[in-house]
Amino acid sequence: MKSLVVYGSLVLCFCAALLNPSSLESANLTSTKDTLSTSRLSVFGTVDPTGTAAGSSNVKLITPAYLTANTITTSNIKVGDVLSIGDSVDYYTVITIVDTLNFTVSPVILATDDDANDPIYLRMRPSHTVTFTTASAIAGGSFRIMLPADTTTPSDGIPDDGGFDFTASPTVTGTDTTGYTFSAGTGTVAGGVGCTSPANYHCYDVAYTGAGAIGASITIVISGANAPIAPSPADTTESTAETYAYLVQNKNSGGTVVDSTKGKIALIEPVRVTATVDPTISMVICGASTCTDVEPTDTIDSEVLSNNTGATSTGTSVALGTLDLLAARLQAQKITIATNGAGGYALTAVDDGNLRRSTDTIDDNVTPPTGPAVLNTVGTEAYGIHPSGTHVNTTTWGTGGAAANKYSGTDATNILTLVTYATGPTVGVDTYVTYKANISPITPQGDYAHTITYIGTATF
Amino acid sequence: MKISLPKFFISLLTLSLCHFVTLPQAFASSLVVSPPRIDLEGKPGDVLQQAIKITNSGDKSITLSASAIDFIVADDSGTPIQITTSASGRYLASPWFILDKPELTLSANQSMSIIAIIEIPADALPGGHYAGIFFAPKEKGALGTTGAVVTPEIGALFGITVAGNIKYDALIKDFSVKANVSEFGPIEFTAVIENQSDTHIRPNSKIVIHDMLGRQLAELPLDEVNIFPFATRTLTGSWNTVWGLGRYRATLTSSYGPGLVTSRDLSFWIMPYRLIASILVILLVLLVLYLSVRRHLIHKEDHRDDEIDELKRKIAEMENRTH
Repeated sequence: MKSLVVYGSLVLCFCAALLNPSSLESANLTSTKDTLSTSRLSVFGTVDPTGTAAGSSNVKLITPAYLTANTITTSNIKVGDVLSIGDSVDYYTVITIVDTLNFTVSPVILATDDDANDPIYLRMRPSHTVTFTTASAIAGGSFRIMLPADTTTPSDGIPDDGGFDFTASPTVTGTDTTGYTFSAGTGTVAGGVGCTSPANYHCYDVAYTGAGAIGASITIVISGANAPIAPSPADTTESTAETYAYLVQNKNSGGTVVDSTKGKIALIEPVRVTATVDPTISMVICGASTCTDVEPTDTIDSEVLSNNTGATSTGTSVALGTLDLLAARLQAQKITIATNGAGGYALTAVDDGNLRRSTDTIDDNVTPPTGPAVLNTVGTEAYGIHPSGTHVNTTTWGTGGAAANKYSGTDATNILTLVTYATGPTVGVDTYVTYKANISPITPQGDYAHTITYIGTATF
Repeated sequence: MKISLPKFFISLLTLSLCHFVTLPQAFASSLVVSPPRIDLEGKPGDVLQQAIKITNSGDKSITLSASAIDFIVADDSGTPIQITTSASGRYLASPWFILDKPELTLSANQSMSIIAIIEIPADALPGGHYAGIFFAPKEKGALGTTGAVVTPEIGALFGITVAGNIKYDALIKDFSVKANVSEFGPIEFTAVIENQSDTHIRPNSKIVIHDMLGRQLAELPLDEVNIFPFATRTLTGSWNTVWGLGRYRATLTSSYGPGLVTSRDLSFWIMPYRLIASILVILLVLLVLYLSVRRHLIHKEDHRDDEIDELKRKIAEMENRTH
């Protein structure tokens, strides 16, 4: 009997539970994230007339903040931004960031935009791509994305300090997937009809048809010209992200929230990267010892370099070897100059005197070096250099072989100009300098030498 | 001293080897200077300071000497020419330079800055003064035969304008167009500007082109370049047009110094004469064709008139017979 009572009680409890079931517990949507097209905060500052004047390109931000115009440094402004300045909504492009308070714009500031506390806006409207995984298969329902709103001015077209600023008629779309066929979504300002709980959240709804599915990957995008305006918060610390909570809900066909979840969005000032490239000029001189194209038997400007004993060149010397009464001796060096300066470069040469041995000299081909000339008569004493290369003036120096190439001696006082390239920056362009010497039957025996200094500079 | 034959040959061989050792080393000089050109302004008595960075981008250690040397510009391309202090005259500047490191050793790929302190004398002439800091290797190349020892030298140019009563003047010495009559564009211009100021100038120059109706067709900015005192610079510009017809006026204006402007203009023609000739030939051919056809039609009508007259005559004869 006792056991009968116990079993009877259990059956009654079970039946009572079936008659009045408890409401279904909502589950969490999973893998939720809101990917912003830009994580940049909006700009809302005001004009400081002490550094902003009509007709000038400089704009100064006022500090401390005027009301909720919380942009009090240039850390969130970058070159190329198009800012709205003044009550009459004039647009200006940022040209340079001067310092933490000042920046310059184009065109110059109009007379209506230089008053104290004239607003400065940059309305950032990032698109929100919200993705999540469903927890339940809810047929014919809807999804709602809720973005944080300012408590006092949630929809005035001005970046808010407390949340996103709502703009009517946003573009809200869902990506169709198995069990979900979406219709165009809508937006409702915080506090608007059907968008009151929880308070201070804008609502973006998108309804769907279909049976729904458990574990479906859903993507909802809020975008377009009417996407909400990103905040311009008061307590921003440069390089430290500001975070805002958002909600995602899955409702059934009756509008009851079945599943929901909460996520966070992070916004931050842009990182301004600055770099300076110093103007430079570089010069490299190489000879046969390090450059393969100025070795004996190589051809420079259609003249073959000599291959006699001891003839070679390095970056600091040119050895012609034993000169020959019956043939010219030639060797060469390569000089490479590069500059990023707008004025290009000049290559000049000066020496310490003639090619000489004690008081004996081998005559320069041209003295003073004012007009280079062909050096092509074997048996006549002459010595000179001939530059060739992309930037060499071929009218002055000739080109194309022994009959055309012009040689000049160098001088201790009259500087010889080899190249002047004033057109602008240039990558390393090679100038080949060919050294050529002939002797006569009466040239005294011995080793002849002199020093040539090649001077690389910018043009003035 | 008696030297055996083998010892003699060994000594000779050693000397020969030594001779080869003194032959040129496998070495490429490679130097970088930054910045290559500096403009400074100061008053008499001022002390200016400027850092110059020198880099040895070669693969061997190098010891450099740094020295200040005056320069001038004598050509129309801006080529700086080193001169002695005695020759530099009113442009003298090198004695004002004090270098914190007149000599420096750089290992491979090492950079170092030297500081140039420029003490402008209290009696310095107002206007431009010009010198460069030039770096050259202390160690010279070696030769054991006939040839040249080569020393690379790289420099940073200083243009120092000393404040005071500076005379500014410039003129457009020449302004020309490549061809006074062109068939097509582009139209190439050359301008030579002479600086007659006490200091260098950097004119902002442009060529504005108008057509016969006075309409502005193009504005061509020219390169901004420094012009050394009493030197000229040649500037070039190109109007990249293809078609044109008639007479055009090009006006060159150069603004320089404290708001001064010099200008000069020229006229040129664009006359696509071959195209015009072709059109005229086509028109002529069409005219000839027209006249031929017209003449043919007129003659054809003349034949019809003759036929009608013949028929009328025959009808009249037939009528006469019946009567």
